[in-house]
Amino acid sequence: MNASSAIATAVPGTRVERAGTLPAYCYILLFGAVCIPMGVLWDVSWHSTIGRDTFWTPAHMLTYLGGLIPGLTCGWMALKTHFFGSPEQRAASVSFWGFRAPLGAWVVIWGTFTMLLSAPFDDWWHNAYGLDVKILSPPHTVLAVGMLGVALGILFLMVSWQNRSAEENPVAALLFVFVAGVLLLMASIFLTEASLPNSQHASRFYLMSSRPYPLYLIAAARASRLRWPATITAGVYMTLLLFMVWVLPLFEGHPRLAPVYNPVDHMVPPAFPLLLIVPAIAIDLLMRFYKRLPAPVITPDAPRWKRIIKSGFLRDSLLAVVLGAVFMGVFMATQWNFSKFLISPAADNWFFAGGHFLPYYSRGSETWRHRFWDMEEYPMTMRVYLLATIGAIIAARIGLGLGKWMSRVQR
Amino acid sequence: MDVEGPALMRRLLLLLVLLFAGRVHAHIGSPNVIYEGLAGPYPVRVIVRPPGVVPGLAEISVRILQGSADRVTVLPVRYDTGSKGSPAPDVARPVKGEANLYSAELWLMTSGAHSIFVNVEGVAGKGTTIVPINSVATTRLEMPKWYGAVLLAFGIFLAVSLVTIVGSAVRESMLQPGEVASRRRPALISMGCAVVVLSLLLLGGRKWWNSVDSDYRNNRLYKPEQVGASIRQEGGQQILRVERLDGPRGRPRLIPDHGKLMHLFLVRTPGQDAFAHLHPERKEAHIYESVLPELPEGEYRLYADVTHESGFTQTLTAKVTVPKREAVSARAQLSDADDAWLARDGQGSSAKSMDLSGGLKAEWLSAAAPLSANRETSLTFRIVDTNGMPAVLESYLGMQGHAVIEARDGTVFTHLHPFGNISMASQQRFVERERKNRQNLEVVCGLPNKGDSIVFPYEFPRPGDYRIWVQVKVAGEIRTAVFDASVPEKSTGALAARL
Repeated sequence: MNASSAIATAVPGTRVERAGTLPAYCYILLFGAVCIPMGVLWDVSWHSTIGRDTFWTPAHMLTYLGGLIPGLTCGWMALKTHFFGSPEQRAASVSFWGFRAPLGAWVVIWGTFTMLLSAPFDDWWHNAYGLDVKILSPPHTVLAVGMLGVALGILFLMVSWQNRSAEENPVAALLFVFVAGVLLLMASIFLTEASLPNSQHASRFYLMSSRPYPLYLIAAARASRLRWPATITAGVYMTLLLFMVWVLPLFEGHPRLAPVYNPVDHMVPPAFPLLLIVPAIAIDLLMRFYKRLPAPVITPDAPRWKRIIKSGFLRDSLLAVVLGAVFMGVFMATQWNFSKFLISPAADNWFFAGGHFLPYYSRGSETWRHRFWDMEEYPMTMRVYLLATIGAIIAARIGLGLGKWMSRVQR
Repeated sequence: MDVEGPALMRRLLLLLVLLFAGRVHAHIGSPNVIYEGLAGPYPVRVIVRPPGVVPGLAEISVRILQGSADRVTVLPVRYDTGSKGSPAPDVARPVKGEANLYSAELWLMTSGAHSIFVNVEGVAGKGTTIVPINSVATTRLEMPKWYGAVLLAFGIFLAVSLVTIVGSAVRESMLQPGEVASRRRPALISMGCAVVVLSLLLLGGRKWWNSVDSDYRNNRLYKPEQVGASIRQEGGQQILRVERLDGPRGRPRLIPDHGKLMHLFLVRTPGQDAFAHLHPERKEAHIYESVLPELPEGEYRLYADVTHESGFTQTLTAKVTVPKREAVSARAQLSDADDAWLARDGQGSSAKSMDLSGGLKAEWLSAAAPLSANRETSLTFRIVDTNGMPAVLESYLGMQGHAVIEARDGTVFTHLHPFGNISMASQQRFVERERKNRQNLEVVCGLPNKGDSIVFPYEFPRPGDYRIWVQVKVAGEIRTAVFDASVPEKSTGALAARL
């Protein structure tokens, strides 16, 4: 809070709501949040295996549920808070065009409406340019932004509940990092096309990965009250993705579109998850070390330059430089080497699903499957590495700022 | 990850595609493929209405012309995979209110030469026929203004909402429940920043959309091969030279369709009063030449039908000016015995017969129903002698006759045969490839002759005025008759009803 512009006054007689037990809507919202990436992963698998789809495929239904359940729940919350809310509930809300509800609820509702907007846009897009069998397209981005809105709104609800809970209550803190892990998974799905194991020696993968992953991990680490928040966030991402890697191929599926170059007979799984848990551990260690550093003492009569150096903004910026550089170094060292294994015949099994992610329309030969792609188009150079590191530092700085803000969210 | 809209919206958009899109295809402006042949013991008429975009949904209709079927299935097959690279076939459903008519929708996922395998099963047994088609993106849908306005209004609502939420977040979210504080200034600053960031993101999105659109128009939208045409005088003859202008990668190898590598048509503009059907010889890999018949001077539209080795077909187009012929004593010595032409004024729209040389007469027999756009019809003609008796038709390029249809403005052109408008060569390529999987596969293109008439199945793509040239061979001589057809505007209603 900016002290110079804030005039805080306690409302006499208003009891500050302190959550003792988790409200039931938290679990409903959590279910909705999980539905989104799981539905999308299922849908990607559907398009890779069966190809043909309709509005009513189970994968689509799961994704729609992920938008509708939180949207309706938060719509109900907004109506209840504004019209029938107790003074405590109204006191823990923010205003939107005269209506009152928790901040996260408004963000969820906004996300649901954005998802709705993407539907006619996507339909027109298919008629104008053909059905796009890819993830990255403008209407899909609108859909992804809507999904992001829904998940972020749920994250804000969880973090506000965490921040209002007693220190010793870990449930809300756990739910907060769980939703952060869901957000990390959503970001990874959006980058799927550049993140396949065979693309992990190309510069594009590192440039694209350097932005969302450190942002989410560091924001979660800054805002959470847990001891290993970034590690748990990455763990949630890997667990959910591994569930799909291992479960989807258990179901039979055959292509229903031509041409079929890769005659798959079971549902195609996603690629093995990124080992984000490794840089996440590094982030947690660095954050713990940083927290142990003595807070600088700023005396009112200190020179201006000294006050600037010791201010939180500069300290966070320096921390972001370290976090961004460490993330990029550890992430690249991990993926660069792990991807060599993932594309080798040794990974061609149910556990690592090496090459199993290739869709029915993949024309690649056996040799092509076991080599790195895009090396000439996106060569990995020192310049690219530095650019990716700068990207990671900026993302880390934004993550620290977001995390700091989230750690103060009360409503 | 795709989200489909309501079926009604899809139909409206499809209607808009059909109404406003200008289509260019292997047959200019006439994208629908129509075919008649035998599927085992069953004579069938198959119509394929390709989508304007790829991937897109093609509409397939199969009419059993004789007998009845228990089950009709359709299967899309790409040229490089054969049926082994195709999924299980789709069952075509009977069309309500129609006898022996079945329909299905098939996804065409990639560009290039494809074919539809039609299987018919019934009491008479089983049979297969193969209908070659091109799968290409031919349309670019403009967003209707009202549709854009609705999306824009929704987008503005979301943008304003988002900025308001940012303001609320900064103003109130960090306050303890019940706490009241004035944070108006930071809220306003944050909202201003949100407007800037949102504007930048929207500008980035617009740039992305434009780049996708540009890529679609330049790289994914079908563009026919470029050809150049010129005429030179040589030894008292006029020589037409057609050059395929694209590089070796842009001009795939051609295969002969009913014996000719290229079927070339010339139509004089604007009156459509001179017509020639020629078969240029290949002089070099990319150069084809033909001796011009004695055509009157003027501007001509040139159409050249070719079939690629893959089975993909194209109608190459160009314009050429035929200069005034130098005075020569000898008649033009045509380079191909099957070349033919006609240079005389056209018919009036009401004329249904035309006198030919040798006392012959060509008659256009009225169809059972009036002509209508996007509705299958049978164009039936008969050649009679001076006694009014049907003339004996000889085989001309392996079939009973040829028809060429061109719209007045040249936006529609098609080359028809009694079996439809497919390339026989393309069909044969698909059959040969499939025989690696099914050695006993037999595909019969076309149906037995229908008495003393020549029948061309066709669907006029849009209302308007058309000219039809019909070519037959009688007594060793190729005769060309010309008729006019008018397709009334009211057929738009028929189109809507079909949708």
